[in-house]
Amino acid sequence: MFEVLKKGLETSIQDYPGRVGYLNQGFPPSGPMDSWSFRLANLLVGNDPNEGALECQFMGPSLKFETEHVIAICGADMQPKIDGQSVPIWESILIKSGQTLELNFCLSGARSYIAFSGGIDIKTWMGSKSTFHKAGVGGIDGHAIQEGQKITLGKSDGLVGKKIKSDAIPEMSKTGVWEIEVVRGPNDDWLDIEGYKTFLQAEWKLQARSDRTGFRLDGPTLTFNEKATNKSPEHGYEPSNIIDQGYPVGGINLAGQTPIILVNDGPSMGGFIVPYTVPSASFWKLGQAKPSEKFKFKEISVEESQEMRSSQTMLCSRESII
Amino acid sequence: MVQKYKTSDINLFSKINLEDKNYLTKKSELKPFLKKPKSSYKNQDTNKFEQLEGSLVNNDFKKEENLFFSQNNIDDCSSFKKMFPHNYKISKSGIKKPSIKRHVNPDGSYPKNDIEKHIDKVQNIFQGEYEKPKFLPGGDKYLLVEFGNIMNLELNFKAQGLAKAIEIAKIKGVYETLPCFASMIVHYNPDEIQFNDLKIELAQLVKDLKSSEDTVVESRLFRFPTVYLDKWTKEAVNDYTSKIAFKKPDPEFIVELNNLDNVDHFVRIHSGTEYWVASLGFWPGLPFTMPLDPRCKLTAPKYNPPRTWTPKGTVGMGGSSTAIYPDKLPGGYQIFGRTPVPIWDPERRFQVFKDSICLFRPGDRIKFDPCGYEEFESIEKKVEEGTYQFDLMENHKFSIKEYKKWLSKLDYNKKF
Repeated sequence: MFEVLKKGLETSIQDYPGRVGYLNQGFPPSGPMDSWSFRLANLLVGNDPNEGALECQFMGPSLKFETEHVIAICGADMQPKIDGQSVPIWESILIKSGQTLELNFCLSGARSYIAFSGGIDIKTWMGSKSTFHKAGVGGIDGHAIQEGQKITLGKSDGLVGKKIKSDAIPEMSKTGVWEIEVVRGPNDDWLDIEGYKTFLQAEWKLQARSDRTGFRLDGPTLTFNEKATNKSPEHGYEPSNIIDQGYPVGGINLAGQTPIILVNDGPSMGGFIVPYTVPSASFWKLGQAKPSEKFKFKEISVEESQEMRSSQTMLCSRESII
Repeated sequence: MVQKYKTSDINLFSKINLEDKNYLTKKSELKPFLKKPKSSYKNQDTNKFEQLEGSLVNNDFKKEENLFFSQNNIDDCSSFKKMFPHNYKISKSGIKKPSIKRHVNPDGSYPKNDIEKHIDKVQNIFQGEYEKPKFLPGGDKYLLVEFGNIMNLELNFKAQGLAKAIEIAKIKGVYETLPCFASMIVHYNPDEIQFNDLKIELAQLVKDLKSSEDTVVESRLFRFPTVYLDKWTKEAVNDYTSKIAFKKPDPEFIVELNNLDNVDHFVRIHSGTEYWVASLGFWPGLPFTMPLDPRCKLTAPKYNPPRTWTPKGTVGMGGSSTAIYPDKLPGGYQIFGRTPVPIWDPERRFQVFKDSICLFRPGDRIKFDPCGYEEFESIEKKVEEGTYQFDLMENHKFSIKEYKKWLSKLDYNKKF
């Protein structure tokens, strides 16, 4: 068990892959933004990779432990310390009863994951422990963790000093520019040739008004095909308007002229076109990007995106733990 | 079909104009009730009402000889009349106004889908379906099936039908589906099924779908007291125009775009039809709906850029779809009304949320009843106390065939 001394910036319980099967009632899957680091953290402490863990965003929490536990921190470097002593990330460590784990601002990356051997002991909601903070459901009472809260953990039987093979660790961008793979579609013929070209050539800046529901991007104006301007009125007359449709998670929604990448807690449906979709294997990069950093998009095929997914799944296995 | 009425339906009943002959064929049966003031209705009176209503409904349905949805005529709601007086006069100029403003292309030509043409109106409503559905990728594990590029009931039946067919066929690797107006999303596991194989499987299921013509579905009817042109949505719009982008106030904008007389005219049209819940999405419990009366079909673009907040319970529209915001949320629809009735309830405080924390199911219908602030506040208080009774009629059936029949009988020149 641990007590939350400082809550950090919207630190929440997530599990992988989150809530599946409730899209048609309007529930997004939630789950960790960077599921690669998340799964590795769980594997380090001997858990199933899907087990519930904490997602820390930009500014981590301080947690006081009441029982001895094996934990691991993966993802962004939030300068973790136990009782003031720096501890490594990407490695399983021991925290003793009475000790305090303190995370700070992120140096590299944006989201850090704390996994606890034995997992987090909370009730599932709609089959998942994931928190959907904005809607107030899942996790603990539907919200990010709060100061003074005591959170119960499962029985710790993990081993200390476990590490990850170096080629299985995701590499954070050092330049502040991220190359993000995208698959064209579902609305693959709404922009004109110039429009799709501009989208791929431009550098898009991540706006500060971005969170687990959507990543808003600043960049050039996109141009449209005749299809977007010559359509039945129930679409809405703006070129980016379409008869409301389901959105894929990762869909890049063109709202007017603002592309919004719909991420884990994003809307499942709406009336804007989705010219490109970020495949699941590239999501970790979104999760680790900070506002004002830049995105460059690279188009790949459906098959390539599925291969990327398989190889990432391979990396998120016990094989990667040494 | 006999409609069973509950205590809560008395409120609704009291709204019916008792002088209206369409409603009351046997006036003598009503006498005992007419004398009593409305407030004296107690539970024991409910039975009498049930009998009375039962016989009326029976007669009605015998005439129609079939079950169908029984949308009230816009003229039947007395409360509505009081708030937004009807105006049957044809506009002074005598020029017929098109129901929807046309989009003019850059080269001066008009869009192909010409709403203004009155020839074969009903036929027109059912156009826009593709010969073959399109299968479009959404990243590595989503697929969008698009049936057409128009909003109509048939396409929505098709999307819902395919969702059901997928569920029954249990295609390996398909996690879930998300049907909407004219399309549906399929969420699948690429480790178990390839994109191309999934396309083939789905194409086969679409081919085997029964014609929606013969479909009859359960359809509940919810009535939502709604303050139109309310202060809360006005505040949200003002906040947007002062901080994000300038725009005309939403109701006035819709009036201009659809060539309506004024905002009251807009309210009469918007509240003059039942809305079909085509899908839930965007946010837990949020219904995407379309007007069942084609004469009430309006159009509006979505915000550019979207709004950062919308009051809880806001009623808004984008394209020709109407939605209720279940919570304080960002959004892109034009907004113009607010209802105090909750449409999702994670704590399940009300009986209607027993099976699901979301109120609606696809296939439900919604009627917005214009109300004043006083009624809004009284309902809001009841919701807070947990004593609010949802205005809901169950066991209604809805058939496309009957709906089409109804469409063919409509007076398309009627002015709302």
